[in-house]
Amino acid sequence: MIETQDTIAAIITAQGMGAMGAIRISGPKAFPAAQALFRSKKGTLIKDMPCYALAYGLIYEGDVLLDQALLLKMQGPSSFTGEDVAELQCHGGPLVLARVIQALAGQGVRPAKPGEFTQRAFLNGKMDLSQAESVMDLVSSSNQVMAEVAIQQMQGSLSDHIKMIKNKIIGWIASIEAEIDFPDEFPQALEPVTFKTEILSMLRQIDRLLETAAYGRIYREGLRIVFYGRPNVGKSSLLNGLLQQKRAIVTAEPGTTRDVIEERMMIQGIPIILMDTAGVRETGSLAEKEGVERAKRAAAEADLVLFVLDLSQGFTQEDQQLLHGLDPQKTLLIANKADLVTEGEGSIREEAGPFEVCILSALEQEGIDALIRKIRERFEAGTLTAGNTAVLINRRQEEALAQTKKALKSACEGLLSGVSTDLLSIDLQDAWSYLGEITGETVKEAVVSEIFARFCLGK
Amino acid sequence: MAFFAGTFDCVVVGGGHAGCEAALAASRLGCQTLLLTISRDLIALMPCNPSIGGPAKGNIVREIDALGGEMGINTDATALQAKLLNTGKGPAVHALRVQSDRYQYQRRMIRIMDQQENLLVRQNVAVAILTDDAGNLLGVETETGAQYLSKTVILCTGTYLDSRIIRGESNVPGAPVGQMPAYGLSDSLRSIGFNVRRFKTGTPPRLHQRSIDFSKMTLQPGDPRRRHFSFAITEETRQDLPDLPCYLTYTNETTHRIIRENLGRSLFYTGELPGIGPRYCPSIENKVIRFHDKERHQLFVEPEGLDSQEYYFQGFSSALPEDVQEKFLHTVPGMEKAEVVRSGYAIEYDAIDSLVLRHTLESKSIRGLYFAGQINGTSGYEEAAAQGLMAGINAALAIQGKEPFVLSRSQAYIGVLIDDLVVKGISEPYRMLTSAAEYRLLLRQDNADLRLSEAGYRIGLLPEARYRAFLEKKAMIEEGIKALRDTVISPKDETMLKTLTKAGSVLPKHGITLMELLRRPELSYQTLKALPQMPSYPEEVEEQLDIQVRYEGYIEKQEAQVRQFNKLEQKALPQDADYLPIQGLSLEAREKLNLHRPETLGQASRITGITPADISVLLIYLEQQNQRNTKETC
Repeated sequence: MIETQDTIAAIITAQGMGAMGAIRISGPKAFPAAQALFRSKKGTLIKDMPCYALAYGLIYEGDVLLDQALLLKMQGPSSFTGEDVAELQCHGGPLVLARVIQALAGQGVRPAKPGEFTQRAFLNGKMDLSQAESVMDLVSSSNQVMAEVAIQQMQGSLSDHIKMIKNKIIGWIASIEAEIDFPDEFPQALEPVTFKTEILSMLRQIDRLLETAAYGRIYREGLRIVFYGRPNVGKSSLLNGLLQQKRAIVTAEPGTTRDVIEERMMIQGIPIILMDTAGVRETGSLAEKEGVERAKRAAAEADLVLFVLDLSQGFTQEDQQLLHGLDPQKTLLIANKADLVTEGEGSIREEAGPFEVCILSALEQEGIDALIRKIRERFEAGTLTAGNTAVLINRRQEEALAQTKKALKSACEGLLSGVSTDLLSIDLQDAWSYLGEITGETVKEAVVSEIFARFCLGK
Repeated sequence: MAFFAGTFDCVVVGGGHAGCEAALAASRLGCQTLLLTISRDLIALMPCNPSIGGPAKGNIVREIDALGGEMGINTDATALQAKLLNTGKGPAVHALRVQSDRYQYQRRMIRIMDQQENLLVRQNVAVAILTDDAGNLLGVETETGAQYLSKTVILCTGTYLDSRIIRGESNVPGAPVGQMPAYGLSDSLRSIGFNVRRFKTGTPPRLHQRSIDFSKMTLQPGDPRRRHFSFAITEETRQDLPDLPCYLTYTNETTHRIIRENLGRSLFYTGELPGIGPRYCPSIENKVIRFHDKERHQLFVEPEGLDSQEYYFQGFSSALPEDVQEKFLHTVPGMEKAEVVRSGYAIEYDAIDSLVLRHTLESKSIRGLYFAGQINGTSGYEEAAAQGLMAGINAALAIQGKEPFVLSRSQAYIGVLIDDLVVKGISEPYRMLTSAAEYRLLLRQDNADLRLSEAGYRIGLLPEARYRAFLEKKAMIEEGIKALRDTVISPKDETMLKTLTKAGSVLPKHGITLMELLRRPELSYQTLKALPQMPSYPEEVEEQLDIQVRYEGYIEKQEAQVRQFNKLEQKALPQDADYLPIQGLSLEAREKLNLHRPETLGQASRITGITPADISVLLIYLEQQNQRNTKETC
C-alpha cells in the first residue's frame, strides 16, 4: 500500500529573501507537533481551530522564545498535501527558521526531503502525475528558489495550451472517424486547404512552446553566460570579479568540459553558469580556427554573451569581426579596463550600435554591480528567451512536443502528397498521444518509473 | 411436469446469428450440441436490413470467416449485390457490404446446421437455467418441461426476452416477424444473480415493389466485379450475382414537419418509455430532432429477396403510429403511393450488463454459462455472429480442458468488440464502429486471413484445405515482397520510362527497385504491371503486396502504437488486491477496480471512470508490490 505515515516539515519560502519565512508541517502529527511549539495569544488550541483559520502567537522551544508567528491550519484532505497541515509564518531570518525546524524534530517531525510535499500531494490525489513531475523536475534542479517560482508559472498555463491543441486534433480525428463509419452521410470530413492552414498554425503554436524550453532550462540548470572576446581583454578578471562579489554564492566545481571552464553561482536568486572559453584564452590565438569555432559555438548556445573588449584599445577591427553575427538581444558589450582611460565611453556606445554597453573595470571592481543589475534586468524582461510566455517546458515535455511536431508535420506532408484521411489519422493519433504525455492523459510507464525513482518510494 | 430430455456438451439457446455460429463452432469442435429455437423456420433471420457488412462490420465478417465461422460463406452464397465502400479512402477502411436474399440466407443456414455432425436444431423455448444448490450450472429447461443437462449453455436470445413492440401509443408483447416473446428466462437469470435491463431498437417499414416509383430515385448498383466475404471461393459462391440494385432517395421539410407534429404520439417522446436505443442507428424521428438543421436525410431502398416483392426502407426506422408513418412516408420522392406491407416499430427487450462476463464471454459468476449477441447489449448481425463464434469456441475449449481463445484489440475487431463489452461496458446498444478500433490499419478487411487463419486452424475450425490455401497465399506474398525488393530496373528501361512518364512520375537517374517504384504515391501495382519485370500473382496476392509496400511507413507507425499499448496490457494486476485502501486513487476508481477486477493495467485503463492519474497510481502501487516481493525473497 502507498504509505505516508510520518510527519514532515520544511521551510517553504525562498531562503534568505525578505523578512518573512514560512514553515510547512504535514502529516498525522502536524497539529500536535505545532501545538507543542506554538502558543496562541488568545489561548486558542489548534485542535479547536476551524480549517483554514489563522491564529497569531509565539513560538517557543521549551522556555526559549524563538519568534512570533501566524499559524494557518489546514485539515486533511483540504490541504496542499491532502494531509493535516499547519503552516507557520515567521518573521525571523534563516537561522530562526532553522531553529524552529530543529524544535519540531524534537516533536518527532522529520525535515522533508526536496519535493516530498509534492510527492504526498500526488499520492493523495491532490495533483496529477504531470503536475507532480513538473514540480519534481524543478525541485530537483540546482536551486530551489527558482523552482518554486517556476511552479507558479507552470500551473495551468501549459496544460491549457496543450489542451487547446489536443481539442483541435481530437476534432479532426472525430471528423475522420465520422467520414469512415458513416460514408453515406459524411462524404468529406476534412477540406484539405483549411486543414493544411490549421495544421500549419498549430505547428507555429508548438514552436512557440518549444522555444520556451530554453527558459525552462535556465530555471533548472542556470543561465548560461559566456565570456567572449579577444585575448587579454580581461575576461578572466571579470569572471573572478563576478565570482568574488559579496552577493554571489559560488556553488560549484571547476571546469566540467574539456575546453570550456564553467563556474556556477547565484546572482540574486538567479542560477548562473559562467563559461569562459578556455581554449581560446590559453592559446591566445584567435587565428587558430578551431579555437574560434569553439568559442563561437559556446556563444551561439549561450543565453547571454558577455562580449568583453579593452576600452583602452577602443573598438578594434578584430572586436568588430568577433561581434559580427552575435544577437544583440543576447549580448552585453563589456568595455573593460575603464580604469585605464578617461574618455572614449561615448564613442564606444556609438560604435556598439544595437548592442548594449556596460563600462566597468574588473580590476578595480567598478561597475560590477551595474553589470549584475543588467544581467538581472535581461533575465526578468525575458529578452533572453524567445517570448514572454507564462509557460516553460522541461526536457521531457520538450521531447514530447518535438514528437508531436514530427507527427503533425508527417500529417501535413501526407495531406500534400494525397494520402487518404484515415492514414492521416494515424499521425494525428500519435500527435494527440504525445500531447497527452505532457498532461498525463497518456500514461507512459517510463515517466511513472522515473517519478517513482525520484520519490524514493518503498524504502 | 419436468422430465429429463438428454445430456449435451453444449446447449445453445436461440437460433439467430449468434446462436448459429455458437452451435456450429461447438459442434464442429466435437461437442455434442443442441440448439433450441422458437422456430426452425426462422433460423438466421434478418429481422432488420437484408444486408451484411459495411465499415467495421464487414471486417468482422471476414474475421469470422478466417476463423472458420459460417457467416461469410452464407452471405456470399445468398448475395444479391455486393459493394466495396470507402474505396476513395485508405485500405484500412475499405468495407464490403452485401445485400443478401434474406429467405435464402435462412434456408441455407438451416441446411448447413442440419447437415452438421454433432448438432441438433430443435424447436423449443428455453424458460429456465438449471443450477444446483451451490449455484453450479446443470443445463436448461424448456416450456414443455424438457430438462437438458449440459456442461455449457450459451444464451443467444437476441431481442426476444420479454420483448414488447411499440408503435405510437401501442405497446404490446411481441417479437420480430410476428413471433411471440420468450418468457421465463429473464426471471430465471434474475434468480441466479444477473441484473437484467431494457434496451430497444427499431426497424423501418417494408414496402411493396409495385407501389414504389423508382424513377424518382437514384440507382445504386453493386460493384461490377464479384466480391466475396469469404477467403474461400467455392462452386456455390463463384457465379455472377443477379445484382438487384438498391435505390437512394431523401426526406424533405414536409417529412420532417409531419414527424415533429406527431412526436406527442410516441411513447419514447412523451417520456412513458425510457428507450435506451442505438445512437448509431437512430429512428427517423430521432434524426429529425437531433439534426434539426439538416434539410434532408438519406434513405436507401433495398430488395429483400429474389422471390420477394418486399423492399426494406433503410434509414426510416420509426416507432410512430402506423397512420403517421404512412403519412410522412408518402412525402418522400418515389414513395407517394407506396403500399406498406409491414410497418416500422420499436422493440424493447431484456439484456444483461456485459461487465459480468469474461473475455471468453463466460459469466464470471457461473462456470459454463456463456452469453452472446444482443443479450449482451450489442446491435447488428455481425456483432452477434462474432460473439456466438467466440462463445462457441471457448465453450468447446473449456470442455476439452484447453486454454481459452481471446483476441486482443490489436488482433481483430472481434477483440475490440468483446473487450469493449467486458471491460469498458456499454450503456446503449453497441454497434461496431471503426473508430472503436485503435489500430485499424492493422485490422484491415483484406488481411483478416493473415491475422487469424493460424488461430482458426489451431483451434480446429478452419478446414485443412483452406489452411493450405492460406499458407500458399502467404508464401506468395513473402516471395513477392522479396522479388519487389530485389528487382532493380535500369534507368534506361524503355517500358519503365514510358510508364512513369504516363503516370507523371519523376524519372530515376540510377537503377531503381520495383519496391521503390511501388512506394511512389502516383504509382500502384496495377500501373506497374506494364513492366515485364513486375511479378504476377493472383489478384488478392497482388492486392496484399500493393498495400504492404505502399503503406509500410504507416503500418510501422501503427505497430509502434501497438507496442506502446502492449506495455500496459501486459502488466498484470493482482487478482486478490484490495483497491479500497489505496491512497491516491479516486473513490470511483477504487470502487470500480474492486468491482470489475481487471486482469491487467491496460484493461483497468479502459474502464469508464478510471483516469490516467489513477493508472499512474496503480503503476506505482505495482512497483511497490514488486519491490516488497523482491525484498521478501532476498
